[in-house]
Amino acid sequence: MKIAIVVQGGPYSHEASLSALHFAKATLDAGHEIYRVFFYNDGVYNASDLIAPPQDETDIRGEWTRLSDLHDVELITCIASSLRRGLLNETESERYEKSAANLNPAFEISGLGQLIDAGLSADRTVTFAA
Amino acid sequence: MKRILLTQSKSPYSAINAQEGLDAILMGSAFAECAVLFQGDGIYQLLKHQNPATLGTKNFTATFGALADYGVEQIYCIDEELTERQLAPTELVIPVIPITRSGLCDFIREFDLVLDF
Amino acid sequence: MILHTLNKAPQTPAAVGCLNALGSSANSQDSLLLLEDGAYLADKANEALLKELSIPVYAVEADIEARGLANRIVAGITLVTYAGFVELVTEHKMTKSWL
Repeated sequence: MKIAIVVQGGPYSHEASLSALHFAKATLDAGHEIYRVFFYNDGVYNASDLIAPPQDETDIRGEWTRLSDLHDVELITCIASSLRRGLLNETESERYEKSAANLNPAFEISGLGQLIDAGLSADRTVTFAA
Repeated sequence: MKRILLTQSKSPYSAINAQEGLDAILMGSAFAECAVLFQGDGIYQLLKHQNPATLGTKNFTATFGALADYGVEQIYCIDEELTERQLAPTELVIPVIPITRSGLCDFIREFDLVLDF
Repeated sequence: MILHTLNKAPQTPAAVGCLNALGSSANSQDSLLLLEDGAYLADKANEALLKELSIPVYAVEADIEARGLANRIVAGITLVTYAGFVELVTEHKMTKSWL
């Protein structure tokens, strides 16, 4: 089956993104396809390249990146949510004349249409929210 | 055409969930037939006479009046939740169709997809 | 048919709304999955709340264990791994998250 995952919670502040990560791994282990992981609301904080968790804690952003790299999972952050929370890729950073870009390269900024498309195209959609 | 139910369960202003949920509703309307269920404290998004000007927050509820223009005309709430909050439909900025708690799951089952905010 | 997921503790608006709805309108093909703080609903102190439901109730084992609830859960709740969570999602037509 194709499964879409929506993440609306930031890393560490709420368990949502950790639950989503475990669910995503289990989805792939079961032989299903992850159609897309869409990060919305505070979920976009999972995409920060600047997260530096303590050594003895799960590197949540790192785990999402590994999932994407190893299994070609598409990680999308909503552009409106991202801009509002200061998660910018190079393009947006230049557009808004900000001092830096901080979106981890495994994530892509895109529009809300990707959320709706994921929900309509996948066989199942699961939301993890704070 | 597929039918999407988008649910709004958060009150406005204390968090941005209500506004971002509305953004999703508007986007959804471009792709599919959408209905909206305001549940729990989400019903407070529809209360008339909101004025967040002093807060400095956008009064995004003005957009609810335009939902029909986006083709989103099926707006629902849970009848018992209106009563519990002593809200009359006339106190809400747009018409809503109340459904009973006992009919809620059957109602949800009619859709192809549920997106929760 | 519908997999209802609840990640909020008892007495929160999400939990109250969820239990009220499922108590009066879930059909026999629906299921409830407790995860994150929803695991507290599986605690024996909340047995009366769950008795109202006529549908299968599941809980994510990792969340039960994390919270030290393993020896306190109500009989009749099925613990699932994340693999079991995935199965529940694929077996039900749709998933509704009570937030």
